Amino acid sequence: MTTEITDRAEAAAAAEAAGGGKEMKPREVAFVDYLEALAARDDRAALARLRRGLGKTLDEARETHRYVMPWLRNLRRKSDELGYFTVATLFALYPERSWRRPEGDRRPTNMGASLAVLTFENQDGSAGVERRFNAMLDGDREALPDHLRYTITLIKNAGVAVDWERLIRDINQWEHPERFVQTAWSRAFWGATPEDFTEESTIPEEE
Amino acid sequence: MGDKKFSYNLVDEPWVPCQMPGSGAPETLSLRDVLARAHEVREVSHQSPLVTAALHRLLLAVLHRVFGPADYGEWQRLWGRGRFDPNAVAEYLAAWRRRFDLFSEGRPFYQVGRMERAIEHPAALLAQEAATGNNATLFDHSRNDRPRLYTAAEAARYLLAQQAYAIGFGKSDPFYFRDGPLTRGISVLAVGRSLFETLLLNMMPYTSSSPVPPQAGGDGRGPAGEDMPFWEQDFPEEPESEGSPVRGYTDYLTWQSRRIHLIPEEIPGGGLGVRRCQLQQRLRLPSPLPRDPFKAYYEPRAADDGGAAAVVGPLPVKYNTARAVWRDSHALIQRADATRHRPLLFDHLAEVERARAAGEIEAEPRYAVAVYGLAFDPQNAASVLAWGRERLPLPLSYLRDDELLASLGRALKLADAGRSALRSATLEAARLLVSPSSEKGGSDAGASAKAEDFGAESTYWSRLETPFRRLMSELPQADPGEGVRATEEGEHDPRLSEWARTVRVTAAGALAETTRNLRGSARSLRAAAQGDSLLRRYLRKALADYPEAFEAEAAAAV
Repeated sequence: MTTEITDRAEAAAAAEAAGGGKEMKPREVAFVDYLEALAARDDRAALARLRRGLGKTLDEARETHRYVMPWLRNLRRKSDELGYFTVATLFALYPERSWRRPEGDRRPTNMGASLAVLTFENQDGSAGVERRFNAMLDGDREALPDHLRYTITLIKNAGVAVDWERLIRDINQWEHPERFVQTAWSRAFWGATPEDFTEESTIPEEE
Repeated sequence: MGDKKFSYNLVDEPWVPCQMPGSGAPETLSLRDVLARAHEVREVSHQSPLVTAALHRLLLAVLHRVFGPADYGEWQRLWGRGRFDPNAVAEYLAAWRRRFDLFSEGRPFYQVGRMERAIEHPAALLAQEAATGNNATLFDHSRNDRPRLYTAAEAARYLLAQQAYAIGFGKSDPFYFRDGPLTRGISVLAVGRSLFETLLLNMMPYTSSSPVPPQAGGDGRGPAGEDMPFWEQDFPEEPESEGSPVRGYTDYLTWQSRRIHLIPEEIPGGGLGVRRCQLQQRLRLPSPLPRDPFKAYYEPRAADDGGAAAVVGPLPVKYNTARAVWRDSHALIQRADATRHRPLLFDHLAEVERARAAGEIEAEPRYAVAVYGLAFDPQNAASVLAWGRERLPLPLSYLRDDELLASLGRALKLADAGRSALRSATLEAARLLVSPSSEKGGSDAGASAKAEDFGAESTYWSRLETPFRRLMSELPQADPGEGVRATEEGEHDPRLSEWARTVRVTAAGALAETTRNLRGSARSLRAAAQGDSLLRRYLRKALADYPEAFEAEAAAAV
């Protein structure tokens, strides 16, 4: 059984390794790799502690700090903490591998796409999902964690994939004046056609 | 005024605005010089397209009287000389010089002597339409006290435009104002590499019966004599309310729609100018209108007129400023079918091309065509909305090669199909914005207006124009003589494939541009996303014959 110190040290080492050295990954990719590693070795304590962060702010959720804080060092914008923290808590709710498409398949994997798959596979609940999605789009960044918690629960029940890495970035960019995150999610959700839901696509989606 | 005799002779005075080749400064030439030096002049052009068109018609009238040509043999000889014989021109103009004085007392050029009972208007009246294409303030006398002074040269130019483009509206003497020869419909002019080429390209063989035959007036009276331009007529026709007889082509080209009298005065510092004028109705064209060789015509359907005055004969194709001419280029160029007649000029140019292809003359395989027109308010035939002038490149082979022209027609059909797809998608997006929850059919009027506001369609057309012109220039270049032009059965001309792709990309881009601003709320985002998705679907259907238009670019990355 690990202690807070060892957990924190492990997180710090992983963060360090990702940031420097030969394998320079973007921070969010490395962070999700780290979360996946926690899940892969069935670290139930870690996941439970992260889950307790749901509904709380980062400051309030002290149990999560050992896993999350080491990753937040030298963040360009302090507000970006929200993306990492939120995804960490949500991941703990639904510890699945981040959705990745094969090389050359450029179809979107953002939350809009996940929800599109959800409604496609579950026509009955789609009105509710759409309502929630609308509310998300109309809302600000601070409201996202609650909305996402609701939708991730549904997604988990349906076994739909989630691109966690993307979600971190999207949460952090939510307030951009160009609203490109909202635009991308809408395109994926409302612009989807049946061929978007096949595993392989012979015709890559053009922009 | 008083006893003073004013004189400004258009044969000698410099008044014709010319663009010179290269970066030469514009020059103003006299009538005699502009014709003698036509091979050295790039083109005659004025900022008003009405003036430009009218100037060309004057020059053509003079040239036809001097040189004919009676048939294509003579035309080819003229073309081969490379310039107009300056002596022949000078001789003709010397013989008629007295009729080219703008301020002569007896027969001022293109005018009448001072009219007893006609009021004086500011000379700006003549310039108004020509300058702005708008006749809204036609009879505005509010700024009468010190109207603007025009130079004699300027006055001459606007005088020409007024006679050609007079607009039929309003009371005058001895009868209501009637349209001039060029007022309605689009008119075209071929454009060569020099003014010499331009003028000759527009000179069809001239005989007593072509290109415009003599025609009786409204009261059945025939013309007083053989064809001649206005300045040669010792006894010009009197106005006749039912329409005056037309002697022939040069009479038609120099038709005096109005009785105009320019009142000259001296400009301090030298020269003559015009501040006031008189303006009355003069000749009305007979019915049916003479067929203008520079206009396109169509046969109106029987139902078109809704029972109003019986429509006689083909009508000139209207100028539509909302619709750039290139979009109708196929219709404009194609040989007559049951419903349309292309300008006679194009048949002439087809003959030029035949002679060139047969090695009989040296010429370019392509020239350009300038298209002019006034656009009228559909609710008010007297209200001019705007004038327009466009230039189309014209490889002359289009005029003779039906298959080639058919390719162009296919390209335009694809463009129209793209536009339909765009329109439908835009309308759906607008519907979602206006009433997102209602089923299709709800609040259509609001949606249509909204879709209109998006402006996606006009973005689409304006972006398509340049690629289309390029296509139009390139299509003829697969010379049948050089191997297989038509590709294998089932394969498409690669340029049409490329065009189909351009249509797709342009339509998608036009919508994306519009929807880019739709992101403020969930409702807007949804409208945008669904619009995009629908457009993709509609385009696949519209361009179904060209699936290659949807292949992603190899290096599309990012």
